[in-house]
Amino acid sequence: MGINVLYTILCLFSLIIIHELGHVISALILNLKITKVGFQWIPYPHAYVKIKWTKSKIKALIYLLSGSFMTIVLLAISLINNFFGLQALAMAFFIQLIIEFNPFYSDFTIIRAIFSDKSEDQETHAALMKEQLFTPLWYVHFVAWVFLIFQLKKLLI
Amino acid sequence: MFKILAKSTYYQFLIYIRMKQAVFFSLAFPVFLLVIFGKFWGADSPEYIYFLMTGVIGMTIASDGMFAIGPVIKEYYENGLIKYMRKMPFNILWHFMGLILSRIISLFITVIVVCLTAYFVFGVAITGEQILNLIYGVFIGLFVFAFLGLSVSFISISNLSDKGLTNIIYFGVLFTSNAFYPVYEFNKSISSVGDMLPLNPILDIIRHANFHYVLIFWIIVPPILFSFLFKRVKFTR
Repeated sequence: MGINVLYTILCLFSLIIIHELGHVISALILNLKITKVGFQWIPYPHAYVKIKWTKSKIKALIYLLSGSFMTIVLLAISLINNFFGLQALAMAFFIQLIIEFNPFYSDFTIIRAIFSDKSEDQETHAALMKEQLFTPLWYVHFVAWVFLIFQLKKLLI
Repeated sequence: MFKILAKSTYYQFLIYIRMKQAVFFSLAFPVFLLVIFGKFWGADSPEYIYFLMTGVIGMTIASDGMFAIGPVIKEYYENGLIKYMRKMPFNILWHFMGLILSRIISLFITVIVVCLTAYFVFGVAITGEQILNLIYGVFIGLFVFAFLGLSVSFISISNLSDKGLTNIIYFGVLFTSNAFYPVYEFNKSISSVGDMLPLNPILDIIRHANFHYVLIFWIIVPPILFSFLFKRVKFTR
């Protein structure tokens, strides 16, 4: 059991790095200036890539979705290959996808914020995300997220 | 005196229930975690449901203690409200006690809701002795984590980003604890670290009525540290 947990943690770290790499690659392709790559503890421990924010919503959308796109591509490859025989990898995907799609603080909550037509920079998004908690759209996101968790359980564990 | 305390508790509780975010994370979120984890890993195991239920309660005690008391009092300091309160015709401690009592009430509501969820969703009922252990654990746990949160908040009183430090400690305590899974089964070193931190001994009180001596340290040191830090605070306009 101990080894499995260790492998899961290692796989999870790899998935986090690949997710952030997705943001970095898309930022480079879209000519967005990366200002910081780091780790922070608020509101929960997570890695992040910070860019000089763009006013183009399409670019922002592509940039924000690129991380999850990388995870989903990897998930597809892993599913085809039966997770390369690693149960820990399936578990890591399970955890990573739950975190990536969560309705409290994720790339998707930032997308909700930038499409609320108010925000211009990444700092403003944090405040906007708080404002958007418990709105009808947030409840839709929450229900979809719970549905996703149960589907992932069937698919991965 | 008691009227002041009762009024203060009432208004603090009113403030709490008007904050959707606070109610969600202290009441709905623990229930959500219990249902999700319980459905996934505890369907055939009432033992795990009880383990999870107490773990979720332990996690809520830690988060309520660390985030709902210390940072609130720090905010009083930051926006100058503490200075105003000190001029009130009653001791400021009554006001703080009202805040703590309101958190105890909200925590007991969470405990009741979590226990009812465990019973109605998973059919796991708790005995009278287990209820007493829960009450015992809630009081000690809230005391320890409240002073820990207060100390952390007041260590960095002039630093607006103290939430980061509180989060580091909170997640450190949570991830090394036996709240959701028995850490001791897969890593003895992490488990030993968890045993030295306050959440595991509190979970042990709730689950087995065992009192670990390490808890004495956590009961004594954070209040002393807080009183030292509080005396150092300079009230400025």
